[in-house]
Amino acid sequence: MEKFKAEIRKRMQYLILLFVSLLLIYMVLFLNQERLPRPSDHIISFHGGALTSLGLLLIIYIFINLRAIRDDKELRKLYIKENDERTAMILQKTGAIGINICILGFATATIIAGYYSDAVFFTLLGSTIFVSLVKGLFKIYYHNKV
Amino acid sequence: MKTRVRELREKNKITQEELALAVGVTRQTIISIEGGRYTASLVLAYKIARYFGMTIEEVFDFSEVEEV
Repeated sequence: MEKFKAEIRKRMQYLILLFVSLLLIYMVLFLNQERLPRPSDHIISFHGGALTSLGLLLIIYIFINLRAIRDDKELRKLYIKENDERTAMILQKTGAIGINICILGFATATIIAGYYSDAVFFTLLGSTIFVSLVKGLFKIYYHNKV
Repeated sequence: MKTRVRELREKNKITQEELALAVGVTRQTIISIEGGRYTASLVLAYKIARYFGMTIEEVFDFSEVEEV
């Protein structure tokens, strides 16, 4: 369990670093908003919401890890939660099936978008190729690793 | 896969939570194993069997496993 505790400490450092980076990005964007191109209100709202949600998630995650470092019982619970084999299997299955559905969805949308807009067509085509490449590369990696 | 986990757990008056903590999995995993919806890995099967002081074959029923 000491090894896991050390891992949690390291993880905490990364999480705090990520949180500080997020705050810096937010501040830089906020202070330079006059100089940056102004997107539509919807996009500004989305950016604000996404950054705030990410910040909140990081705070929650930092709190969970901090609690585990301070309390051995919570540490064991967290270890079990993160290493539970059924949960791992569910994650693997949802990831594998999910990515296939995404590729299929992107490919269908790419074909349909081709009739309406070149920009949307190429964006979706790029996304389809990217997701397919990620899947293919991971497949090769794990075939060689396992 | 059929197992004797529930039977052994009830016989020894152990809760699902206690068994889960002892073998290092979540309670949901024990529930799924007892319900026959999830087949435990070899390591987990060994841990559960050892917890009850039995062999894997005595706890897990392999009679329905198909031979290829």
